[in-house]
Amino acid sequence: MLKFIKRHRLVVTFLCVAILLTPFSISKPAESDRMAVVTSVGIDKTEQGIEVSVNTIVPNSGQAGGGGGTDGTVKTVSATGTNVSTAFANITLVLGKFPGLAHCDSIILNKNLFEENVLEYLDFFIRTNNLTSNAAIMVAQNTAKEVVETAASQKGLRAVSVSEILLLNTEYALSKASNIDEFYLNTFSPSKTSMLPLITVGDSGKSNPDVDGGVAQTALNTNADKSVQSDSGSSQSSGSSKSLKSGANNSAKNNSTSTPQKAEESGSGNGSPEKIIKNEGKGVIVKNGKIVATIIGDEMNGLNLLSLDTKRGHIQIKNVNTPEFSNANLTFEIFNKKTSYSGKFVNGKPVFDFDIDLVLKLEEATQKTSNIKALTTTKNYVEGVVKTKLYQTAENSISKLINTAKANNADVFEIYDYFNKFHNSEWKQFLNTLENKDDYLNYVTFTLSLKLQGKI
Amino acid sequence: MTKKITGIQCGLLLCLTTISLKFLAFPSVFANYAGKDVYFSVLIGLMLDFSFVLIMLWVLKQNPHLTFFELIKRAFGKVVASVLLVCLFLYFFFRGVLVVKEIHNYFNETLFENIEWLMFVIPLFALIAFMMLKDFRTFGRTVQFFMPLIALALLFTILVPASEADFSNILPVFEYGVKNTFNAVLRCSFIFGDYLILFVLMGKIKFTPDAPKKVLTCVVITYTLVILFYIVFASVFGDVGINHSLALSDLLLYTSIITETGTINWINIIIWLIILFLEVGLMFLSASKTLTEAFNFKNRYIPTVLICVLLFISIVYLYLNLIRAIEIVTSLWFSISVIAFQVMLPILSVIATLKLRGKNKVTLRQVYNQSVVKYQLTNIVPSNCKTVFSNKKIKQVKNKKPSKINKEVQNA
Amino acid sequence: MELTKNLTANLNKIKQSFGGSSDVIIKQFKCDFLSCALVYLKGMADVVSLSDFVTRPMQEAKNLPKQNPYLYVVNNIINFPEITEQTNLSELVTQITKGKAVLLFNGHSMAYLLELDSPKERSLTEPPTSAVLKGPREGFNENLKTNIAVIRKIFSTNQLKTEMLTIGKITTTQVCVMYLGNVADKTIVKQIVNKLQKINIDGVIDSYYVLEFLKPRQQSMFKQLGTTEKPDIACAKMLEGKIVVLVDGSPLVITLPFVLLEDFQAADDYYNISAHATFVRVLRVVSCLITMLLPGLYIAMQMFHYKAIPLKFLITMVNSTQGLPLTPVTEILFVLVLFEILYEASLRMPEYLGIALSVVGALILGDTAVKAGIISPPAVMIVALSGITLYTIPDQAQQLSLLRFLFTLAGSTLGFYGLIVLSIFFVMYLNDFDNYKAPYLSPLSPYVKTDFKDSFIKQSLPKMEFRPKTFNNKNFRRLR
Repeated sequence: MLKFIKRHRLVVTFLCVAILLTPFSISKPAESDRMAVVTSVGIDKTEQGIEVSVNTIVPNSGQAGGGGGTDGTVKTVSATGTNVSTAFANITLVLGKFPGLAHCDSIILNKNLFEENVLEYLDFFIRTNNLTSNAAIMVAQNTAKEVVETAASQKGLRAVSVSEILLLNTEYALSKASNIDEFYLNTFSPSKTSMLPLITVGDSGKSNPDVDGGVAQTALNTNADKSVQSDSGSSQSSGSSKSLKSGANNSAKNNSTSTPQKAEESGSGNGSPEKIIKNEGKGVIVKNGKIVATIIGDEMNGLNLLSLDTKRGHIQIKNVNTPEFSNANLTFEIFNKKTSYSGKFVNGKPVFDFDIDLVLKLEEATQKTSNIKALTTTKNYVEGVVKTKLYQTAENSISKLINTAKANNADVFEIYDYFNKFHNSEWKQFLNTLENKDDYLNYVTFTLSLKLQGKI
Repeated sequence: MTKKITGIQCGLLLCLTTISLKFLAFPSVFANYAGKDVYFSVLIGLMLDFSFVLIMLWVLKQNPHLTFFELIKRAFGKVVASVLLVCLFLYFFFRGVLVVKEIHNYFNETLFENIEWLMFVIPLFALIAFMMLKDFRTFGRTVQFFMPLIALALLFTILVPASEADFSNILPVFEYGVKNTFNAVLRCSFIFGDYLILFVLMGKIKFTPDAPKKVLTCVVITYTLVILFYIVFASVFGDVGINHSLALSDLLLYTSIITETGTINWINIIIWLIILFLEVGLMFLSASKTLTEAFNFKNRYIPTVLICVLLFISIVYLYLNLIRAIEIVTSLWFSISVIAFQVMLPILSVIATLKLRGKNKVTLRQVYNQSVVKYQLTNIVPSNCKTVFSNKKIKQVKNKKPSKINKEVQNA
Repeated sequence: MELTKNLTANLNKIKQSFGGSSDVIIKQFKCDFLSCALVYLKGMADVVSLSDFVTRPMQEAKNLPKQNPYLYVVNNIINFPEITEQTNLSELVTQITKGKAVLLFNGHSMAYLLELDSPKERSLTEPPTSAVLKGPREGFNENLKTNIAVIRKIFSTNQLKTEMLTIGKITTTQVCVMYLGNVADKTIVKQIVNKLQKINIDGVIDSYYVLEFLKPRQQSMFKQLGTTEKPDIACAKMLEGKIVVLVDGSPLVITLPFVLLEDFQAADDYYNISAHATFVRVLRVVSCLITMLLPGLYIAMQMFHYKAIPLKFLITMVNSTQGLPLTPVTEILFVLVLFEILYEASLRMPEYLGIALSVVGALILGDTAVKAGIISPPAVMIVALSGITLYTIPDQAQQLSLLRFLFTLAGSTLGFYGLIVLSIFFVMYLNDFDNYKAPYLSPLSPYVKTDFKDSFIKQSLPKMEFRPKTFNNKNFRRLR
């Protein structure tokens, strides 16, 4: 026996290991059966405590041939606890599975969480090793639960990827996308300021696209309308897409047992219009874990101009009178943008300069009377009166933003970081001269160098 | 006959030792002491290491065929040599234990929801035991085999986050003071001293004229990549670096490229795990070889079993707790002892080399002993043949002039 | 036992040796005044040639010299290029079994062996496992002499050395070791010959019998010696410094030393453009990895690492595996075993049943089982893909098939951890392997720069100046 083992050491070792460990796995179900795949998390503060709502994937086994496909039912489950971790523990009880945050796409926070310090509600996420994805943090105008439920009702992949509505922000920066690590980095930076996008839930048929500062989900509206017409009255659940028909009744029961209020709130069974998640180009400034200001409209446009990452945007000017236009509203698309910052000290005071180069292209001209000359495409419209108005509009937007930032002492431009890195000694000297070191923003002089060019 | 490794394999083994322990838990430990200046601490540590590598290469060049044990034994005696080897054994053993704990932590944090103790330990022990029964040449070849993957993983780990990192985040330099930077080097001295592997490899390297060049090239490239990694780490995480006990995977996780191509990150993680396993094997193999030489074990299973038992005890006692291990490693007394050991060994080797050089001759007894061993090994003659080795021959050897004796020894 | 001068006694001894076997033909006739006998085995010797060149001339011979008439007959009457003398009975019997005819004279204790054997042999057709689009299509057959002749035809040089041995007490099979004297390492040749000489076995039917004895590690599941059925491949390997062992009765020729890389090279690569050869070789490597690792990776991700699966794939997988009666591990093992059974059955079944059973197998596995919800489509697809890629390297199919199972088991019990541990284990195991002085994973480890020109990439022939340094060649340069 010993001789056999000595001669066949490797085989014997392998067999021992295999015999010891294989029985454990042969009867084990797949991990996706043991864990609930969570795609979105919403956190609200209620009277009962912290309410956490999650969207999970429920497999759709009703498809013929056992085939796959990405149309699985997305189900919303909510639970309340004294804090986020106890709420998650309660969700485990409701689901019967552990919530797996590895594919969590977004964390949606209710605005009321920012009343004291939002960090106490995010502490769970920064410590858990479950959250291995780059989840985007968003602030909900309504309740986070409503946003999460609305996401669940979307068709196809929209249901599992809420952060898609922020994807364009890297180009347009109508609001700044932030993940949890970035948020913490900014919150613990010397400026203690960060920005988060603000999203809302609205009715699909009633939203008006706002050119100045908003991007409405018009494409989604059309699809949603169609789906509502075809499936109206057929489902009790909050979602009603065609692929959900077979599982709709089952999910309705589940939904109704876990969240009876939800069924009442959505009321889609009564034929009310479908809700959609809207990114209206708003953002919030968070300082020390509290919301100090909401950025909309012109301020957002200003932020778009000042942002280093963004390349696109729009500038609209009104009541323009030129040989080609009379009392026209002109919308220019920012074809290319180059922004740079620089800072220096003048007489011991910090001066922060924004240097912006814009290449603009006339996108639309609306005027009461038509003028054939206005259709010329080989003319550079960025000159004269138009140019002056463009300057003024851009400056106004930027000034509004700066004023808001100063009023709330919110260093959205990362001025402290800049001067601390590149002019450290002078900056420290300057801070020492201040009574209140947090009030530095009011002593910073902002200058703007704006160059506009037209694209033919 | 000892299977020898080539110069490039030696360099790669040194690279492997350098890479381990510096990419997972310790960046956050560094950040705890040095803040954003982690890269500076690493730079200081690696510069010191580089100087010791140069010293060691010189020692190796002077004694291409001698093992460390032989060298110290001839210069200072067997007792000193054995003691030093035991210390080396403890060093490598503890380093291996630390890597095992890092692997367990890495698994628990990234790949598995919760890996069961039995599931983790059994295959690990089987693999470590298997690795300990091999030799350095097999190891060198294995590392050479995986090296393209390792290089890719290193470059991927550094370049992908670097493309999105804001390098101005490392400014201002020495924001928390220079003292903290040096304190970080002191406290984390255990993860330096990678050149100590050269002591175990002494006598097992085919020391060709271009071998030092190859080793140095590997070392320089690896050190550069490590420093770059720390620069990227500081740029991406800044002051929040202390939160990231799995720097490697966290760094990749928060880049937008990875969000869109998630699978590549996992391939990268798998390759890093291969690196860690190879490092574990190398550490325990080194420990096994040092123990064998120190106590002159004939049977290679004895040190293997001994080390496995010790590993089991340490894992059970410290219950796979990485935090506890890091606390020990970063404690002042431990750090100082490690630094003293890391500095003392190369100095002793240099002294021993100079001592042996100064003597310039070996005693006749040594020649006799060597020639006897040589004849015994090579001239195993059947009984019906004339004996080649006879007493006459011994006398002839004894009467020979010293210069001729030296030549014979060199040719042995 | 030696022959006597008495013809009858000798014939009786021969009959006794064959134990009354009915295919032993003994033809007695007279040559002038001499009594002669011709002994041969029915079906082994060429009867027509015997009659034309032996019996008829001898029977028609007249006026034989009185002194030493036997030599006169052998030298002048019989018209034969190869005649050997033999006095030993057992050796005589052996030669008769090898197809030679024996001529015996009354009054003479010497027997004459006539090299007449015309064994029935297969023509040199293209072997089915090494089909090429371009290049030579000759293959070896079961006759050792023919095989040696084919190699001799390619190497018109006196540097081609052969060493003949006989192995097998009963079969007395001829084995030939061939090498190029100015290229191959003589110590390895000696080693091989010594090993062959030590074989003490009853019989050798095929070269695989010999191969088992030449393997350095008996219990290893990895291929340790190269094999080929094509003379051009065998000769190309000899030019690299390898040694070739031919066994009588087998078309499969053994080449050694062997490195793993060889199985990723095909004959086709040398008869096509280099760029395409490189592309195909890389494809083979990728296929090899897919074969070994894909089922293991799939099951590992399903069982332990759902995090690693992109969300869209995860949803598809979750939907596909919903409601299956089998656990993922049993499902994948079941499908793997089913495919192996299908493969075995397709090898053994008669041709006329092949199509029907293939359809049944495909329907049962591909369609019905999935529709019935017993197995999931991803599992079938994964195992099918793994099965197809298995045969991009047919020489390694057996090993890859086993490895596939091992990796699947490792992945299902331990996830990525198991796969990693097993990979490291196998790589270390193979790196510890010096196969007749050639590292098994060369030129990857140890890294041999010059050998890379004909490894996973293939450079054009003018750039390959040196023979592979992995093998201990005497003479490295092959192109000047």
